[in-house]
Amino acid sequence: MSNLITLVQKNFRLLLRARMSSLIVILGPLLVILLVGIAFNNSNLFKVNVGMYAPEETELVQSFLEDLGENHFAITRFTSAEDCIDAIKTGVVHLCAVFSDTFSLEPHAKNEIIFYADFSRVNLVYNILEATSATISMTSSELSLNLTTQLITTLEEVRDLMKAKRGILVSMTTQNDQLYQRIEQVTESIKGLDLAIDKTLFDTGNLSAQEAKVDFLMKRIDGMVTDNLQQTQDLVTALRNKLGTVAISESDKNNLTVLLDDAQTDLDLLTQQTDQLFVDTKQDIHQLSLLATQIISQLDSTSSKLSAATGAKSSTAENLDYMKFTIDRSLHHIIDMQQTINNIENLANKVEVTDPATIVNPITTTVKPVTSDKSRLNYIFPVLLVLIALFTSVMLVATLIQIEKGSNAAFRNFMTPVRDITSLAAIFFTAMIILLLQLTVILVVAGLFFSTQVLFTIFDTLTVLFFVCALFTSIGMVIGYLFKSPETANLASISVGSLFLFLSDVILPLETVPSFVSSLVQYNPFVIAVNLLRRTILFQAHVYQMGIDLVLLVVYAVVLFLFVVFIHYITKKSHIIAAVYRRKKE
Amino acid sequence: MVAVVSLKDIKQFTKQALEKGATLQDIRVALQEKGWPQKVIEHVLNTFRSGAKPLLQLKNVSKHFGKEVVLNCVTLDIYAGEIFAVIGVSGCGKTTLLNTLVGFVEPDEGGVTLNIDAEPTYEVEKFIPNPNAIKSLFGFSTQSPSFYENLTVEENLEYFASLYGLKGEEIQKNKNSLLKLLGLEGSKDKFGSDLSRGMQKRLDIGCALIHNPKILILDEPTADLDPFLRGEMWALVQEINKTGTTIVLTSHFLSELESFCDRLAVLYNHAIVAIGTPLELKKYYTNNYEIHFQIVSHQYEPLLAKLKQQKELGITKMHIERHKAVLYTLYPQQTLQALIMLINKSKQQLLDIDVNRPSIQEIFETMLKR
Repeated sequence: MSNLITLVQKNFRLLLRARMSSLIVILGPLLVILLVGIAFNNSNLFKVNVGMYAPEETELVQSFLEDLGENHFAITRFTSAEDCIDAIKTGVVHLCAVFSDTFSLEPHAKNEIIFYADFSRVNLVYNILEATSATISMTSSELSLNLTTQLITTLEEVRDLMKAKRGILVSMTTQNDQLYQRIEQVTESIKGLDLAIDKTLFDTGNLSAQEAKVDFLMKRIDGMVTDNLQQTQDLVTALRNKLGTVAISESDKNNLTVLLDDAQTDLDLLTQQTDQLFVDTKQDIHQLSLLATQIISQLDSTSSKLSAATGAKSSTAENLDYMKFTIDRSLHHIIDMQQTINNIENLANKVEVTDPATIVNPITTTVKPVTSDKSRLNYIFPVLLVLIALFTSVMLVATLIQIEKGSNAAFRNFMTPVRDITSLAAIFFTAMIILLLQLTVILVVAGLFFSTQVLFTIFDTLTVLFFVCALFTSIGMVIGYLFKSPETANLASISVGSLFLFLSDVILPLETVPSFVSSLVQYNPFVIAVNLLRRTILFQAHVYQMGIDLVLLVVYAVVLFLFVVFIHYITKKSHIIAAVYRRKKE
Repeated sequence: MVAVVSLKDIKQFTKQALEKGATLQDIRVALQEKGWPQKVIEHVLNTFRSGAKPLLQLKNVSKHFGKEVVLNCVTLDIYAGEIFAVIGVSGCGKTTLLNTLVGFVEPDEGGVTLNIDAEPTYEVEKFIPNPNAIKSLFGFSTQSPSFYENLTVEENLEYFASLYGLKGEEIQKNKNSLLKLLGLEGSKDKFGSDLSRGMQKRLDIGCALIHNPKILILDEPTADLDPFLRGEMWALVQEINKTGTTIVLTSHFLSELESFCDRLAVLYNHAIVAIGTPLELKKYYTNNYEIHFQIVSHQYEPLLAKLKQQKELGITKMHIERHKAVLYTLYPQQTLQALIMLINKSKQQLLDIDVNRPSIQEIFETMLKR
């Protein structure tokens, strides 16, 4: 133990007395955290130059540009898209926004913004795209909000109107139904109309014969009546004559004469009337005949008309059927329409989200930090710590070992009865103390001066950092003992560090690499370390909540330290022999 | 008050101690505690060394780096308390040999044995796997300083002391004594990078010694140091050795080693070609003496030509080295007389003259030629 303390003391003395080492050890972390703190202790993206080209600076374009300007983006206008793109290549602008020809809120306007970006600046491009897109998206949202508000208002009006006019449809349905029924009645009536005429019933062909027959009958009647009347006259004359001869009282006679006179008078009147009647009858019959003729004619005409009417009835019936069908269809359509309107209204009523802002952004993509602090420093802090731990550990330890191996005192150290494990532990603990001091300084400075949230879980963070540093220190020791010269050791340190860095999600998201690489990358100590620190720093997780990741890290560290012991065992002598003989040659 | 004793007494004491099972290092410490001179102690211990167990033994150690042979069947013994130097040309395997000694390099063949106290505490046939218990026995100072340049002298010493398991008071005690020994008291708060080259080397040795190791391995401790610092360094090595620490070192500065090294091993072509005390090596490999002389005019050619004609002087080799001339002769006295006579005759003014056995450097060169 005393040997270990002596070795560690010696290492510290040597490091502190080397001016550059002192600067690196003491000022390095302060400088790093100061620079990083100043650089990233904000949530804005400053000094982003956005180039733009718009064939026509419409009101909408202006609106976008104003919003970009308000969000601290420097706008540079270009006269062509090519110039704008060239400006990215020369670094004048970070991003080029090319607006489409008709960029306006007009019908058929093709509103498109094409962003050109230099993806070789991977560390910046996503930030700029994100920030610019956010502004553009905000402006688009505002426009969409306005348009949607109008749309929603109109929709509301339409819905109200439909609600109001739904009664008309109901009434139309009722009226239509009534109409249908009426038409059906009319149809039935029309269909019930018997327009058939049996002309045989009239036997118009026998009408003349009948007329003659009537005439004949009339004449017969007239003859018979005349005869009767004559007979009656004769009878009366006879009576009269007989009356004179008849022995009857005068009174009777007179009475009879009076009766006979009356009868004569009546007979005369009758004869006269009969004559008149016959004349009249004849006239009537003639008239009747005329009328009959006319009737026949009319009948024919009526028959023709009835025929026509029958045709008309059929077509009317057809038309009425068609009307019925049409009315029926209309009714169905009206019902359909009614149902549709009902459905529309139901659907419209079902649309619970009528807030235009909600419709424009149905899912509000406000990314809220799970941490309370919005400083970027917090987000990059775990990565920063692991980066410092990685490169400082690996390079410091590799350099320490190389210094020790190349030191004049290497041989004397070898000659001392110090166990190998003690020497290794001394280097390990020297590096660990330096690293943990550095990282503690960084944590405290970051916590106190840059308001990061590291101080909440500083002990958990330091515990994780202990294992992280132990792992990277072991890697540094492997490199230090494996390589013969400081130059190759430094190269190897940088290469290993870079490999870890590139196979992590610091530069490119892991989601963008092939799956097999991604599956390998999850075992990258750098990735594990960053994840662990994210959990302690950003989510205030405790060490006992770390689970398998921490165990994996410890296993890595232990295995690597055992490997260090092995490497040291097989290389120590050759290194010292080489050093002794090299120095002898010098 | 140091008691007056004879060499015989010391030998007697040593013999008795060895019989009781004490190691040479234990005896050295005991003798040092009695206040006897280090030179005398080492002399006595060397007398008994042949009968003692070596502290470190390499037996037929071979090492290959790929197809390249770095050590070829190396066998040597290193005894407690001695300063043992391994010399050899660059790339002959000296550093690998030291690394093999401490178990840092695994031999392909052969073995290294470390004997602590009476019984060997550690022995493997092929390889010392550098267990921690063994590591504390060694202090190793590599060719390039091995400490943290961004730590102060004091911090470096404390750091390594702590790693060796020393505790508070012991660390302070060792640190203070080492700072004094290494002459770094005034610089204890300086960073390693701010020290001079020599001080860095001393600090490195300090770091290697902070835990009181039994064996200090020094790989080219004076490389890149100026002559003055080298002198200081060798003096320091001797001081450390006086504390009873066994020192194994390598160096290119062979001539400087012979004055204080107890024994030397010559590594050539990845194998040991000679082991012994400097004197033993000199005796074994050459009978020549060296005469170095310097005259004001630096006109050596006529003098050397005349000396060469005198075959009876037994001169085997001569050459001019910067501003002086060097003669190798079997008869130094006659040659010296003849040389002084010639100088006088030619009216040259003699600046300096020195008669020596050939240096280890020459011995080494001779061996290489053989």
